[in-house]
Amino acid sequence: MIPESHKHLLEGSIDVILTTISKKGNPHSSMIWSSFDGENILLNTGVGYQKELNMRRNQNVSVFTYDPKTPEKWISVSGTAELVSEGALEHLNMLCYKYTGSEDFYRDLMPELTGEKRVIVKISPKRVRYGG
Amino acid sequence: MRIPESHKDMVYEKPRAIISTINKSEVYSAFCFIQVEDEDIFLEKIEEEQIKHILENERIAIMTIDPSNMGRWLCIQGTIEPKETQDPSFKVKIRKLILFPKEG
Repeated sequence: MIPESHKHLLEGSIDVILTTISKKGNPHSSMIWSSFDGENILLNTGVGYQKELNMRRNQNVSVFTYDPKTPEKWISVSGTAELVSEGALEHLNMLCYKYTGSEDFYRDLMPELTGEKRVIVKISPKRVRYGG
Repeated sequence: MRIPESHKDMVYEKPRAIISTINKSEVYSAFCFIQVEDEDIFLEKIEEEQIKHILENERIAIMTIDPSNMGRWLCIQGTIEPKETQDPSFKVKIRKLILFPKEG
């Protein structure tokens, strides 16, 4: 469903914009790291964060990203999110290495957050739009 | 609600932004452009599909990102309403701001 020409936007080290829907029905956007398994977009967040709470209530989300050097090349994915606990720390550290070169998120970047629970956000695309 | 000094350039320099709208159960994000007149913020070049969403649900989120540093961004949550001109332009009413990095 994701075109070959735009997969690199989700596989590389470009942040993506995740938009969830709040309890009151307001869209909520934030920047987040991503990976791609060939079918689903995989994000990672902490349990209890606003976006995590939103996705537990409402699975509908969008992911948008673009190449900062050539913004004409963009992709927007509307889909549903599934929260998965298993393997979340390993996934976080994989993202951490991909984006920063550091191997351990809590040891190297955010020791003050050590102990928090994480989840993988597995987004199944329902509709994909793209440009460039 | 005003944009704080630390992130004012990301709105006042007429940047490309990403607007998210809701259509029934679907969330859709796409590019638009920000214009500022006096202290009012307007959005332009919104996709036709999103304009239809807005006419049914005025709640939106707008993300602007520092093009030289994706770790610096501003999210505006609020509502928008059509500007009373022939231009397809929408005035933003800010309900909440999320900044990164946070001020202070």
